[in-house]
Amino acid sequence: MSETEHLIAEQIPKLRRYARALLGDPIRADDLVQEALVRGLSRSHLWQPGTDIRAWMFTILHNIHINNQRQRRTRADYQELDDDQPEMATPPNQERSLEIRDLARALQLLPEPQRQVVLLVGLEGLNYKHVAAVLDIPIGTVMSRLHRGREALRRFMAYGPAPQASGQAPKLRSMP
Amino acid sequence: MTTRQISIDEDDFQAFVDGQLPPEQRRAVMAYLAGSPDEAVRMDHYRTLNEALHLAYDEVLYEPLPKRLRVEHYRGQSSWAGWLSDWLGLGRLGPVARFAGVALLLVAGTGGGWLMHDRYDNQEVETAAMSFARQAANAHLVFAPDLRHPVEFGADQQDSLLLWLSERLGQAMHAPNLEELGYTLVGGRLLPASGEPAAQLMYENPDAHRITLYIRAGWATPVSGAHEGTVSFAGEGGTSMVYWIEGSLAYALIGAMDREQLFGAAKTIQQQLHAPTLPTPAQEQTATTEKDAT
Repeated sequence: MSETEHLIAEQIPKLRRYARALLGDPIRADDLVQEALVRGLSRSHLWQPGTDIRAWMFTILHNIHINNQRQRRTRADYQELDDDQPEMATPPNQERSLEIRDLARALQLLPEPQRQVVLLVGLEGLNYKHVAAVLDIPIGTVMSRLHRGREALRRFMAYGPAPQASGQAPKLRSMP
Repeated sequence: MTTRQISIDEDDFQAFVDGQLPPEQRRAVMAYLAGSPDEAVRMDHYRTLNEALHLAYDEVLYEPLPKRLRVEHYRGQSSWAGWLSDWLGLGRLGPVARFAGVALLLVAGTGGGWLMHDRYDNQEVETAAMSFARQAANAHLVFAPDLRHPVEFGADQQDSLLLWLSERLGQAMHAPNLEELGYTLVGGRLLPASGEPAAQLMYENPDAHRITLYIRAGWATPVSGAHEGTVSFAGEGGTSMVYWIEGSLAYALIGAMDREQLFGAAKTIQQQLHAPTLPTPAQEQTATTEKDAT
């Protein structure tokens, strides 16, 4: 096994963690990681030693993910919104605490672009520059998605004073 | 609001949470937060959120990899021996790998008894190395942050500790001396690990950073497949682990260190374990027998 292959192998568990959190579905997540692994191995000669292999592999994974989504969209005879929400794919009966399940669900409710940033930063610990490179967006966009994503999750998770975002607040009679 | 010299915007808040702020900016944010409890709470929430993400998904890191996600799977079956020797020759892993044959980590393959059910259609194997790594990581996460009872025996009772651990693990135990790295022994404890006794030795540096060395006895004869022996698992502050097998003992070193430091420390440990004449506990021979102060 070459050095690069070895470095790639090291990234697998983290890619897997990210894909699982991103897609919410373990099997689809592993499918995605497998594709990224195969492509990464076949292009390992293109990786420049000294650059961050993790960011490189995440970029590959992300590009494949975008392609897959595009294909699925053209294949589907129904229309999906542009910022499409992948079907709520919370893994079924997992023995997880309520809070963790809530978090998994809340993540899936987040628009995907925000979810990506929140996960790459908060879970994978990539620095902002790498996140911008992986997602191919300006760093300012990374920051604003991060902020919006975190605020939304904070509300979902009711950490913050939940001002019931869209739904009408419970009817409280106000005395005139 | 005391500091108005440096302006703070939302990006700074995010970067503050993620530890991606340069020191002076960081200080400015802290000063601002001190006078702004609501914002301070918000920052706490963001941090809680990061922790919750890890809590929810870090377990994925320990799941056995299905074949299709292993690099070897795409390389033909016969190559593990070659792969292993490649690995041993790797310059990049110099310190540990070159330490002749020591850092060899062999994981039990399909023959072993660690069959686990998975949500996949096929059976998965949790390798012995994986369960070992998981146990070592758990032990670290539980005891390293413990302020009151991090260890059963303190460093002041090092002799009794080592005698006791040696007895239980059936092998002479030494506590490596990590002073040159700035870490002193806090003490140690005995732990169960898959039906075998395991020892945890804890070290601390002046900044109160703790690292643990986890040692498990009774390692079965290794079979096919090789593993580099590093796992990084993301805890707070980027905790990582390096593990290796030697004879019937499996070792894991865990701490919030970067790869280089961790490998350096592992090398130091391995050298000392191999040359017991080095400044390790030379007093072991004269240990007093007070092994009964659980």
